[in-house]
This record gives sequence, C-alpha cells and structure tokens, in this order.
Amino acid sequence: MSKKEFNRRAHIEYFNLYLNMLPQPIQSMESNRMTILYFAISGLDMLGATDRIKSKEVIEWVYAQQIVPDSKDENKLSENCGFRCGPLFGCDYNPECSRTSTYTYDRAHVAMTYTALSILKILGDDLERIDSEAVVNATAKLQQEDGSVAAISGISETDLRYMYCSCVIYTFLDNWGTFDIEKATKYILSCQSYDGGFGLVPNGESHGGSSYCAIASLALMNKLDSLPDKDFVIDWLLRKQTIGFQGRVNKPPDTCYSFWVGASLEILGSYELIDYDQNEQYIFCCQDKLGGFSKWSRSKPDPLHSYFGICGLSLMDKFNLPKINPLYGFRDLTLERPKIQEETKENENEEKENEKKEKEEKEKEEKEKEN
Amino acid sequence: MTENQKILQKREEELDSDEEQNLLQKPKWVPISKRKEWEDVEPITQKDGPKPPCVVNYSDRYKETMNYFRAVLRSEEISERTLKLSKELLMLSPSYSVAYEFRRNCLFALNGNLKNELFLIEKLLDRLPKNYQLWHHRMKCVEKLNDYSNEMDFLARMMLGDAKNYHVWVYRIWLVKHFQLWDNELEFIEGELEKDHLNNSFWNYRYYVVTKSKTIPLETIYEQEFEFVFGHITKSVNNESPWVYIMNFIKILNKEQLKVLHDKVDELRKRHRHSMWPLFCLFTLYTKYLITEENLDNALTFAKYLGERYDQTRKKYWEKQIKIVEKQKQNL
Repeated sequence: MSKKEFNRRAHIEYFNLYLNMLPQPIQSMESNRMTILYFAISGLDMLGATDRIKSKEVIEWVYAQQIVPDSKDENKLSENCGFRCGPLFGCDYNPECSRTSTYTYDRAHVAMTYTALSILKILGDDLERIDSEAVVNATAKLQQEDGSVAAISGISETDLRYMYCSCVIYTFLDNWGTFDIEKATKYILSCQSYDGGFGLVPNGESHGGSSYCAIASLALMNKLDSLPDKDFVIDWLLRKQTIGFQGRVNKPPDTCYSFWVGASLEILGSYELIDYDQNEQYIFCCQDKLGGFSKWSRSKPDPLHSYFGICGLSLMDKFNLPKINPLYGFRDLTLERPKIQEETKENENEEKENEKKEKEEKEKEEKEKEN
Repeated sequence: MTENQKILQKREEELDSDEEQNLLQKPKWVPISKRKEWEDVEPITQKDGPKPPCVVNYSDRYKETMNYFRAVLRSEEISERTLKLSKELLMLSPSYSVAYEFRRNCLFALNGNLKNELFLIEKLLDRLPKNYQLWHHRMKCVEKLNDYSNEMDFLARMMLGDAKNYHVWVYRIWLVKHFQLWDNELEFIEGELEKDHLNNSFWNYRYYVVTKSKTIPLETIYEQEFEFVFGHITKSVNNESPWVYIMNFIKILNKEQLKVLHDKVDELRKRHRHSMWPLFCLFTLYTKYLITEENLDNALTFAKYLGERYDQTRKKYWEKQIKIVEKQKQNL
C-alpha cells in the first residue's frame, strides 16, 4: 500500500458542505442535526479552518435549541431541560434563552446537550446563556435505578453512550448535581465482558465504542481506579488492532475505532504501544479523494467516520493536527494550536505552479496538433 | 417452504409493488392540507432562525408531514387520525425518538393492534436494521403485548441479514431474561456456533446463557465448557473467540485444573507452531499462575516469538512484557 497524502483541503471542503447543509436524501438525519453540526464544526476546527465558520451565527442557533425552564413554574416539565437536536418541535426561535412555555413532547436529548456544549466551547463561547442548574438537574433525572442513563426523559432507552454524554455535561458545567457516581460506576463495571472489553449494556458483547464510553466516563468521574484490572482492559484494546482497529473480535477494521479504541488506550496511558504505521495505512486507505473518510476502503465517506478518522490521525501526533483531548473527543483547548498556515500557503503555491505547468503543457500540445 | 421463507417472499413481493408505483409515477401521497379530516388543524412550521447552519433541504412531503405532526405533539391529541399520522411521520423520519413514544401512547390508549405494529416495525427494520429507536419500540410493544411467540422467528430472520447485528443480540438478551426463555437457548447457540464458530457474538451469547440461565458456580461451568471450547479451538486454533472465552476462567482454577489446561494448550502449541494463541495463553499461565524460574524463561521465549513473528502488530507490547518478566525473574 502506498503512503497517501493527507488531503487537508478536500477534508475542509467536505466538512464545509455539511456545515452549510444536510442534503435531501438524508433529511431524516435531522434527528441528529446537532451531532452532525458538531462533526462539521469540530472537524473544521481540527483542520485549522475556523475561518469557514460564522461562529456568532452558529452560537445563536445552538442556544436557540436550549429548552429552558417554564416561565410560570420552573418545576413544570423540568426533566425536559437541556438541548434539542434542532427546532423540530416548532417552538419560537429563542437564542436569548428567555423562559417560555414548556411542552410534554419537547424534550432534550442527552447526546444533543453534550454536542451543543462541545460546539459552544470549541467556538469560544463562555456558556453564559446555559441554565446550568436546569440542565444538570434534568440530566441527573435521566439516571435510572440501576445507575444507567437514559437518552431522553420518559423514554428509557439506556446504554453506555448516554452515560458518557452525561458525564461530559457535568464536567463542562462543573456541577454533578444529584448524579449518583457510585451507582454509575457500578453499572459501568457490570457492562464489562469476560474478555476485558465493555458491552453497550450488561452481558452485551465487548465493543470498541462502548468500551470508550465506559473508560472515558470512569475517567471523568475520577473512578478509573475502580477497574479491578487495568491491564486486562488494555490487553483487549491493543488486540483490537488488526491493521486499523476493529470494534469487536473477528470483525473487520473500521476507521472510527482508530479513535474509540485509540482514545481509550490514550486515557489508560498505553497508546504508544500500538502499531502507528499500520493504523495510519488503514485510515489513509479510507480517505476519499473528494474529502472525508469512510469506515472501510472504497465505501462512501460520512461525517462520523470523517471526523473520527481525523481524530484517529491526531492521536498519532502527525499531520500537523492539533492534539485531541481523549476525554472530550475534540481539540484540547488548553493547548496552543499547531501552526499550519505556512503549510497551507506552501501547498497553495505549489498547486498554483502545478496548474500553471499543466496549462502550459496543454497549450503546447494543442499547438502541436494544429501544426 | 419454511415460515421464514414465506415471510421473506411476501416482503419481496411488497417491495416490488412499491418499485412499480415509483416507475408508473403514480403519486400516492395526498398532501395533508388537502385531507378533509385535517381541516381543523393549524400546521406548525419550524422556526430555524435567520441564519441556521446545516440547513436541511426538506422535500415538500417531509415538510408538510412534520408541520402537522408538530401541531399534534403540541396538542397531545390521542386519536385514530394522530395514530395514522404518526405512522406517516415515522416512515419519513424513523429516528425521531419522541414520535415513537407518542405513537405508543396512541396505540396503548386506543387498544391498537400491537401484532400488526410488530409487522410494521420489522418492515422498517429490513431497511434500517441498526436503527436504535425501532428496536426499542419493538421491545416496548412486546412488553405491553406480553407475548413473545413471534420473536424468535423474527430474530432468526434478522440474523439471516446480519448474524453480527449488535441490536439482535441486545434484544435477545433482554427477551430471554424478561420472559425466562432459557430452555432452548444452549441448543440454539450450539447450533449457530456449528455454522459459524468465528462469530464472536455467538460466543458472547453462549457465555450469557451458560452463566445466567441457572445459578451454577463458575468452576462447574468451566468443567462443562472445557470440552466444548477446546473442540472448537482444535478445529480452528487461530480463532480468538474461544481462546478469550476459556482464558476468562483461568483466575478461578485450582492447581489440578491449571495443569490440565496447561497440558492441553502446550499440546496445541507443539502442533501449531505458528499460531499466536497457544503462546499467548501459556505466557499468561507462566507469568501469573504457574510461576517458576523455568516457566518464566519459557515465557520470555514466547514473548520474543510473539513480538518478532506471530503477533508483530503488538511488537511494542511484547517488548514491554519482556522487561516486566525479566524483572519478575530477578525478584523470584
């Protein structure tokens, strides 16, 4: 396999497309609009292309998706507070986040709250318009008797993804409210499989995505030491590398696990034990020449795999990508961004020269044909 | 023809007729604004703000259905017409979580036909086998119906599509526990493993059945599983699944059992000199459970082979292990 070039410009255009619109064939993905927006924003941020983002407008729109307490009775439907995926419910556009009426079916989704807060942080917002108390209280109400966390109030679809989302929310707002950390820890440990990885639910097959959620959640709660045997987990994670990383035993590798499994190893202090070359080779064979990354080579790219492909590369500290915070899944905002401006300019000049040469050669050919 | 095959054939015939409709360009959809039964309802549009990012390019049908559904969610009306509309909405937007709860509220209040609902869910799952909301919706409907009679056949059909679909197994794990359907499960999973011993979901499910169906101590389970697992390992020594399955038990074994395991694995090592798994298993035994100076020397040799030849992807890991074992030797 030949080593490919990191096609920064193409990836920028790819994310820019999704930043601006969700094409009709995937209109139903609007139930995940906030997370797609997050991939686009954070993707552009990782690529150093924040000049493409109209930050102020995005921030306004994100805030308008916040469900705030009822103007007449702040306890009414308080479990609904947080962020929506988008304006699906049809409420008035309210970026000021002033209190209005609440409705039974107008509910926040914990993954949308997590990605909304992430977008705001990446864009440098001070989170001042977040009703922190309301969000924390509502999120805490999503925790079930067994310690697991549901996605939305009333609907008890619970799995480790929502555990992770809620832990990040509490971390960002620096307030864990009434969330029961002991119960949550117990639940996470009950999801550990006999082979060391974590399933999405207790007794579930060990899986790269849920393992990340388990490990990152424990780390955020400062409960990594409750893992009875860290080496056992690290062994499982390391064995997930075939060329790239697989999500489960005996499955083919998939780009996004370069992040899920890679970041888990990073959190457990063992990332440097992976095979960098093979990982890089795999991610690159999933690079689309028009931008983005797919899960497997020769399949179509999508925002999720494109984003996590870049995160996977960032973990290897290469390609002039900023260092990622493995707990949050986006750029470490405490570090200075690596300088890529000159590189871009150099590439641009190189491209312009190549274009010029091509043009001259074409003209030469045509002249010769005429003659 | 089996029941499953009959159902699959029926499904294909239905899909063909949908295709035909498209080809003949017969517009089946009547705008809701033109339907008499919706005259009294004021649709609610979406307010996306002046400069929204990630603008969705809606089709007219999608937009209008959502506009009316928004009005329904606002009014919380439970009726036949809102039940019907929720179906239209979910066909267009099958990940809209709250819509499923609303639909269930209608179904349960109006005593809707839940068996038909299961058929509808399966139709949608055919096209979207990994849709979380659909699987959850099915679980809630089956729970309410309190009837699992269709579910095993349903799962068998889903497995034909993808026997590793994670949702299939999460659902089965729930179903079997909820309705206490343990009786046939061991036989079922043994049969599946005969067909495909590389499917790790099968192995995981076996572990679930074997450990959760009855309260038997792990030591007894180990004795029962030993022959079965090594039967599979002998057929396919490079298959990771049975190895990690059996290695999970090592920590509870007594001296006698450790010796038997050791001898079995060592025999495999001699027969399959290029396989990483016997070496990895012996490495674990020698460094954690059967610690002697000679065994630690062997462990070092195996770690070298693994890092340099049989498990090169984890070269750095084995280099680290060598340092750890060397220190272990010193401290003996």
